Amino acid sequence: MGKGVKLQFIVLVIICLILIGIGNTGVAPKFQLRVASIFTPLSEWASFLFNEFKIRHENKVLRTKLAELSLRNQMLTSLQYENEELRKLLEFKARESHKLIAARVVGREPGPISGICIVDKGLADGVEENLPVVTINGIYGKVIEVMKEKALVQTIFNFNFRVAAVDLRSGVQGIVRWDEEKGYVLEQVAVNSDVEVGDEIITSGIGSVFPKGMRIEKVKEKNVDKTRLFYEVSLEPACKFSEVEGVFIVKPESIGVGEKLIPETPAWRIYMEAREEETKEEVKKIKKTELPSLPGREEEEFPIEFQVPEPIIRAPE
Amino acid sequence: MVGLCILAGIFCILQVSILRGVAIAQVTPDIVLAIVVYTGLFHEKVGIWFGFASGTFIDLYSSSFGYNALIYTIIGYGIGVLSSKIYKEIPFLWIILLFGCGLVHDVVIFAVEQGLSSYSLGRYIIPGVLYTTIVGVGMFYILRRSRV
Repeated sequence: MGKGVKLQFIVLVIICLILIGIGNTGVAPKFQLRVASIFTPLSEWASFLFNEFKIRHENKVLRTKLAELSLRNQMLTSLQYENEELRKLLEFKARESHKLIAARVVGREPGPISGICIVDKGLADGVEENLPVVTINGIYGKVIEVMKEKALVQTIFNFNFRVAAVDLRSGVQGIVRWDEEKGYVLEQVAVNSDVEVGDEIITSGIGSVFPKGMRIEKVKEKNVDKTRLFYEVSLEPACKFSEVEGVFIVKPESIGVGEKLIPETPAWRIYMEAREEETKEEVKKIKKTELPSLPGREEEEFPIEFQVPEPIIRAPE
Repeated sequence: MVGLCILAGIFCILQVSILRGVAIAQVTPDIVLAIVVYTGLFHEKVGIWFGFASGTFIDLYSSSFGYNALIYTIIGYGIGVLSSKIYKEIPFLWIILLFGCGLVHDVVIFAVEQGLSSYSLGRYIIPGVLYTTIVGVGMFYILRRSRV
């Protein structure tokens, strides 16, 4: 090796050190995403070829799951209708709903633990920074940088990733992070808190990135930590996130009082018509019932009026 | 040399996209490292540039920005220096080089990203390096026979 190669080596090492310096600033994700997006068509193409067979199998499984969920959805629709009616009666404020943006992982950090990955949806699809990213099995990460057609996602495997969580049964709160040895860990849970093995852990909504109610995992085991002040709660992983190819970016959208959270479906329409008929008959029955008149008051018309309000239907997207 | 450049480019793309599909217990082989070691060993003067270019590419998809470029550059240069002093066609030497370089790379990256522990060493690093070594030796055989 001549002096020329040694000089080249020194120059390249200096460039690498500058890159490490850039990496320690906030500029790195933006730079990474901009340059990586040049190469993503190639990795997308490679992924497409490789995943074709896998996707076919997955498609069959998802069809079955879709059928199951459709049935469940029909049941939930009726409950939702009732819930909205009650909300209106109680004059609840507008609540938040979420739109799911389906995205594909087109690049990921090499190595066993992928702390970041790139997905094929960006500003053009309505993706913004700090939106949660989920899979059908639970949360996956959050968007940290967005370009027109690509977004950089910080996954739950990232050392800096944290999410506020709550025990669905007891309401005990904590913070979930990834530990390479124990998997998901729920931290900051005081000793003697009501946390049991098998409890479902969901996001608590604190921190403004993840909305309340997103599934994380179930409690696998709990141990008292070294300080003896907190429980160290291990959570059972529901899926191998390293094999995740498709994810959903969750975008919040505000829904007003009286608006339907889901588009009108034939099943829903039939249910609503039946419900309307039922209500009318109920009103007739009540009106026919003879109530004792109060002393000192004139007989007045029955004051209750049931009306099934016309819902505002949101056009399906 | 052009063939090797194209191959290195393809390996980089595969490493960040579909190589997860051949993972065994979450561990994937580092084929980019294998190509950098190969280039350093058999094309010593360009090994350093292959190391820098592929390391920088991997860094685009990495949370430890800049570190892969540094390690691969040092590996490319180090192997290049070593190659002029040894007989290169010994498979046992390939195993030692692949294992050593893989170990150095993974230990540094884990230390920077997650923090090094005996668990990560036994669970991810050693199995990953072994996987890389096996795949790398096979790759070396094919590339030598193809005279790339």
